[in-house]
Amino acid sequence: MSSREILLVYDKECPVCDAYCRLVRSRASVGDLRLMNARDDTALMADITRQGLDIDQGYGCET
Amino acid sequence: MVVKLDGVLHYGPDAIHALSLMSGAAGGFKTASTIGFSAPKSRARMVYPLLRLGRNLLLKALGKTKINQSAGARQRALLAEAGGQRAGCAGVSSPLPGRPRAASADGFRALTANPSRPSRPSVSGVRVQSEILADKQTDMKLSYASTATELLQECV
Repeated sequence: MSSREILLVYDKECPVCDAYCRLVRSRASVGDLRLMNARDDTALMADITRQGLDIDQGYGCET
Repeated sequence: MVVKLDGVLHYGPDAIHALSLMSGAAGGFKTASTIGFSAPKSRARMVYPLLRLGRNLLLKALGKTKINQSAGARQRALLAEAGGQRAGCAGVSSPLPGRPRAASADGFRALTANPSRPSRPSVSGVRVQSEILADKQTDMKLSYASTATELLQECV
């Protein structure tokens, strides 16, 4: 399980989100967890946007 | 919040639910995760709007802006994707380099362009003044549309 790569995209400007995600990352059993700032212009964010997922809403559409 | 796991995107409450199931946390974190998000998944869906509200209030209190992906970037991505096949878009330099809105202008132009219209002159990258003005006008229109959409979402 530890070899699995997990990407967690969150809003780094939100202190609570940041604290939560850092806490999650500190847990070894989660695996290879990489944190990504949703405000950065990354390929994953482009992919998320392309799929119609809105980070701000987080609840608006289900897949 | 989005979690990408095994190539699958988990979104919003599903993301937090997935994280809570994956983490073998102990102590306070485990307790907090269990209360809010561990099975059943419906509980995460109930709690998540409150967390989202808390985040929005916190961002306002701190003077931070939202990511604002909803109105602008998503529209830009869809437009850019729709217009991405057009050969002219790739080589056109943005009037506002570094700003994400530039991509939307390309996508918007690609969608609204007349297919029968000949491609724009691209002699050594020199752009006509009218083209630059049209780009700026398109950017302004998209900006107004994004703001209007955002205001509507705030009202709802």
